[in-house]
Amino acid sequence: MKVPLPAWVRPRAAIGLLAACVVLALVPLLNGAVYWHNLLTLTFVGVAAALAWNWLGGYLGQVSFGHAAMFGVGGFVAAQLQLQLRFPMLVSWAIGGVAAGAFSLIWGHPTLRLRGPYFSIATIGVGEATRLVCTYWDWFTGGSSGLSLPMRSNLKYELYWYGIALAALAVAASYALRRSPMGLSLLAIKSDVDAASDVGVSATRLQDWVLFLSGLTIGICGAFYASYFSYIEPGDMFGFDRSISWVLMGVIGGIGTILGPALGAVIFILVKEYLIASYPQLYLGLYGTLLVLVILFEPLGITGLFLRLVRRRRPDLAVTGMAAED
Amino acid sequence: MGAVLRAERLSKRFGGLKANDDVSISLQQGQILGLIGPNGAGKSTCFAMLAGSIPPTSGQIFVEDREVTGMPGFQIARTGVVRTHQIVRPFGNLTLVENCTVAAAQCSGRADAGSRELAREMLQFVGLDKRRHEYPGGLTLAGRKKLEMARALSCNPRALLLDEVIAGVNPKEAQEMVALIRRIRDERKISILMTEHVMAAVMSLCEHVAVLEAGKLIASGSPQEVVQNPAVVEAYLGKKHA
Amino acid sequence: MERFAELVIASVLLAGLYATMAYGLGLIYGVLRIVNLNHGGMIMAGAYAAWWLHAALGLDPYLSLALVSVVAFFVGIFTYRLLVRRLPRGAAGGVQSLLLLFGVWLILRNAAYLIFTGNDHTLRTSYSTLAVGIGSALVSVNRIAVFGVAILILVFLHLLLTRTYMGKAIRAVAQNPDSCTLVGIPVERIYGLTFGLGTALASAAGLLGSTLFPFNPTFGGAELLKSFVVVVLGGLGSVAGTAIAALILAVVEVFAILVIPAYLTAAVGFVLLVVVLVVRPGGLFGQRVLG
Repeated sequence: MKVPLPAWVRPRAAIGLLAACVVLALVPLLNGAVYWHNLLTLTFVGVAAALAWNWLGGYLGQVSFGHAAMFGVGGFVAAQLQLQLRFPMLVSWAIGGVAAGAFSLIWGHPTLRLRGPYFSIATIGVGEATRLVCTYWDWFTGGSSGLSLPMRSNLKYELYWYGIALAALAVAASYALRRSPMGLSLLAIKSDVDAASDVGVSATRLQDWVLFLSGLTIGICGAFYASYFSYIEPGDMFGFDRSISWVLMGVIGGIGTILGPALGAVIFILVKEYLIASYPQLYLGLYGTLLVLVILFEPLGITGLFLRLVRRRRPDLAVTGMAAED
Repeated sequence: MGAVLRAERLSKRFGGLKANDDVSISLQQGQILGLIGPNGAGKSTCFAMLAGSIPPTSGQIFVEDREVTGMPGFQIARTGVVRTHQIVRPFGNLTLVENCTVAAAQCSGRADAGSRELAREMLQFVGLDKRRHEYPGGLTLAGRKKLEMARALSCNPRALLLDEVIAGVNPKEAQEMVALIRRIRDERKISILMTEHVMAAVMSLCEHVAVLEAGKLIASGSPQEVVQNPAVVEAYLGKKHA
Repeated sequence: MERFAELVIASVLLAGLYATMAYGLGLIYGVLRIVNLNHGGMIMAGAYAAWWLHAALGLDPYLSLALVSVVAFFVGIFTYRLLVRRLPRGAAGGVQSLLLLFGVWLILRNAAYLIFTGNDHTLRTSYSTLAVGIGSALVSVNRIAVFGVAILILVFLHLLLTRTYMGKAIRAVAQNPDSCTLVGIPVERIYGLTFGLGTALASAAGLLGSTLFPFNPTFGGAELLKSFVVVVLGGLGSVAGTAIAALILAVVEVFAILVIPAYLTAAVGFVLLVVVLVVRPGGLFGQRVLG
């Protein structure tokens, strides 16, 4: 069967992704344990969200501490559409995602002109301001009481397969954004945005695209989350801790790599599950320590360790752009 | 008129400082034009305006009769006017061929195999083809300057703006650069505007020279004429020697 | 009219705290070019230190100010020597040091949670509820004391930076570290000292804040952002600029109460931050934060 693939897609990668999806899709039929089923579903969302965060934070080098803003917007828009207008679930997800993407453009387009740490600080402001304002707008979010969605029996169980699709799409997008010709331009922007403009790269337009896609995907994750739990409230959806979790997943997993953040997400969620039982509040400190260690010793996190093991240097994964030096 | 790049009455103010005052320059088709002047004369500002890196306060810029004043830098590059940088700025996280491919793809608007071929061709032109899968970090300064030129050439420009490419390399490398610049004009038919401090290079390469001083254009002509111009001598050496 | 006077006084008093808080962040950024994302963590640490000294040893916070500041100073130097120093300076290290210090903040937050639990703490002294009349307005004694101490700290800073050798060395390094090496100024040492000084200021501000507001391990986040607003608005390097910017922020926040509910006033600071960064990144007096 001849499937037309763009030149930059390696067949092995496509097959690998497909195989993983098939295997994961079949797992519940072999092992029916509900606990793992649900945990995996949440992991899929986490993977998608972490990868989406990485497009902005890793590929473009603009680290966002406020991505929960889009997660919340997507979640509440989708929830309201289902509650007030009885929209079908998937349609609500799509619209929620687009709303989140649009929102990210509103604050992000002017802010992306800022470089490095200043952009990051601004995102903290955006995230927190969004949380406060949306909590205040109880017509949108239900205030601190939140919103309850109609619960459909079995939905939680079925969301597992939706989750696989979501995660797979995010992985495919990650691959595409990196390996396609656009990926080269993104790397150039990350390295030296002005020099990139000097050779014809429309940096603003490309950055806006990545911003929108990132927001859109995280928005859909928020909508998924709302459907999964059937109850959402702004403090949790828009929370700073939630924004931080993606930073941690991305950096510890391997910022700027194609799959690193996915790995970070898996580990993060599993560790959190384990710790919640015995040491509920230790995980932030643990991750803080990991973050410090990663920054000091292995900027590419777990992926970096792996690369060291197989002895492969990847200068294209340089964490920051090369400063002009001589 | 035959002018590839034309600036008319360009001025630039930074707050209270007038860096460029009423400067008009014209780069003819197939010409190598030198832009010189003592330190602080406003060469870099003028250069930056021509390249689209900064917008002029007043005045107009034309690329072959099409006005491009105030256009963002990336669009200027796409109309065929591409610059290099005084302090080299390669994309450190891309290989040499990738550096050039990005330029080729973005300036031509087509991201296909043709871009990669053009990139290789330009690297061959400057003599870096064998190292095309290496990263810029492994090159010497002269190598990185050549990479910048190859990258700029990958944009298929009509006019190449060179920002002090000769300065900072040793004499042998400087001679290579001069030869390379001449080849760019002769073989690829690209017009060149270069700012430069190294006078020997200017004298041997440029058919026409424009001299800036204190933001104003004080002389314009062949290198021989300009060098004997009393105003130019005074600008560089002070009143006593004029 | 009475209300107006009350609000104005409240703004001025609050501005003192904000100026002290922000100066530490600005100092570290101005000299080391690093955004200290652990600023919030040290503010929180200062608050808890004050609380603990009061609860365990009966020390009045204004008396433990010196102790807390000195300890924080050394913690800052230690943080610099152990961690921050290993990172590349300048543009390449920008996001990395941000993330590194962020990690330290997370660790501190967790430590506070483990030691003190996540519940709100308040520091109540015998005079916490005292108030005096200023004109027609009733003002808490605490707020006046905080303002007074803040002014003292800022004056001390100004003198330190302009009259002492260390202060001048710090300013020199902020301008041009390479030239400083050439004239024999121990740049690395100055970096460490500055980081310590900035940390001490943060903790001092936290201590002062603990007398005014209830706090928990998440305390410091909003304060970090407000400090950033002040630094960006006021530019770097002048105590006067910082003071004016702090006043602007305080006025906006306090008067916002007239139109929006109390808990939303924090959002005012956040929005102001984003707007200022985007519209006027050079601040009203100061340096560029772009590129």
